[in-house]
Amino acid sequence: MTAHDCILPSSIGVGLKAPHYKAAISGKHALDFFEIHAENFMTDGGPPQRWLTGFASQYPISVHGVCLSIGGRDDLDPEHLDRLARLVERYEPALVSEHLAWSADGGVFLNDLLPPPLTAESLARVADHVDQIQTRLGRRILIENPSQYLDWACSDIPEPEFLNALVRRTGCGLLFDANNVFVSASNIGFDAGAYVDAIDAAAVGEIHLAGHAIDHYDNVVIRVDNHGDHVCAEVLALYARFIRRAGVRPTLIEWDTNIPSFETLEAEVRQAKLVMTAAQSPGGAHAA
Amino acid sequence: MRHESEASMRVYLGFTRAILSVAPVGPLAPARGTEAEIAAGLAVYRNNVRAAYLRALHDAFPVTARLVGDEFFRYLAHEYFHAHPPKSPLVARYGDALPAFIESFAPVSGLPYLADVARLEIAWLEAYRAAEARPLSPEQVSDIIGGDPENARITLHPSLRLLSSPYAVHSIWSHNREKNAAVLKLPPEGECVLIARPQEEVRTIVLSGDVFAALQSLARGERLEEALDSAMKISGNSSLAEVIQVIVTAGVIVAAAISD
Repeated sequence: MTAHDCILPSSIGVGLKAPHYKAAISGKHALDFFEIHAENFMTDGGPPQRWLTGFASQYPISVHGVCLSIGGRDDLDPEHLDRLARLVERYEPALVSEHLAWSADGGVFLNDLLPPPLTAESLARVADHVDQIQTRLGRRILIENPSQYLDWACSDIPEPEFLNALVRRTGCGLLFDANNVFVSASNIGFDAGAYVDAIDAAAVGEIHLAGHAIDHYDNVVIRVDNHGDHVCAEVLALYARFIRRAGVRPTLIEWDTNIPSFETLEAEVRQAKLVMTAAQSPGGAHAA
Repeated sequence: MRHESEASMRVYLGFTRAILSVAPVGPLAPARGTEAEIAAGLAVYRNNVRAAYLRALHDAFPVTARLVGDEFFRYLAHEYFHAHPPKSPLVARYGDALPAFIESFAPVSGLPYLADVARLEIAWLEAYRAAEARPLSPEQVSDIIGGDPENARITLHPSLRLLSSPYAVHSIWSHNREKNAAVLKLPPEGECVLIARPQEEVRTIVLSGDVFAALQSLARGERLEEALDSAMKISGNSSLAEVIQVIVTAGVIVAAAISD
């Protein structure tokens, strides 16, 4: 057991990127925890493990998987699940999460977080997959809502309802990504605020905040979840809305492309902290 | 696998095909919205998947990319993507078949060394990610095998990779890795390279042909005497002392024993 197996609800952290290792491990900052992409640390040894050992001895760690394809119709890749299990055994992270998404089909691996159809049939299968993972890891995992650019015609369960049902069936928790809700709502047309109010808040164990890009395809405007910019005001408003309703949760800033300076990332964290504090306080209903 | 309705099957199969196809095709998986919205959504996914693999290949093969230029590398990666649809969640290893692909890729036939540079980059990544092991010091090695070196068996470091090329692959790689702008005067001979990470850093060393042959023999599990025989076939001047000295200094011996 490490000394950092628990993350306080008011914690704010960042996704760990190699250019920031030195500044992040120095301790001269106000960050409470770090999140890693599991797949970047699935090596036998080498610098990735050496760095992570250093971070895990000083900070709580959140392990965020991106390749298990939980929303796919293929069986889970048992070797990949083993790799995740080894990482979790080795570092005993405070949080482990994956996505309501698929990346593999028929043996092809597409390396993107693709939205599954939201039907009773896929709910049963996703629940099987989550059960299998939680049994293998011997712990609860959090499942993150995906960003969406397409809305499958066969989907007949609204996403928050789907996720809440998944929680009831498997006992998993949720990772509420406020940027993904905003991006999906803009792209496929639903009410982001109603979504935030509908998710099972008690199950939410972590919140993600990130920036996105606005792309134009002919006359169509699409918000692309590229984790490459500041967190926008609308996403912070959704974040505040959740906190006002349900209280604070460990919050993570993700910035994965066009990686900024560590100082820029620290400023994003300070901003999130202000929103978190304001939304918590009496009268915070109008703070954000 | 659970029973699959026709509609959801079409999402998985159709969307996978729509993402992988060389040219954009219709959505293949029924989605809501106008035709333009669906085309735009599909375009985002197609771009995301290709961009992620291009980034993975560029991260793994920075020198190969520098040798052909970023624009051409994008084209190379695109062609590779369609010739080798990715299969594994280990995205960092997606380029393992790239050297063989380069050898068969006519547009780079003018750069015959390119495939071996890519092989060197794979070896470097493998060494970087390999398991940890503590190298023995020269004193420790000499204490163990000093009495009967010919019969010694050596356990080599798990990060050790050996690469020989008819081209000066290491000179080309290191010159470009350091982003050296000066023109490289290409050595006429091929090079034999040791790649290993005995401690924190991956190190690369150009070896003489005889020491390289001896190391290959040790890597097959043969005794030092047999390793020396392999070296002697390359150079009559090889000596056991020199072979041992080079590999101990390289830090790639992690255990040694005298075999019965």
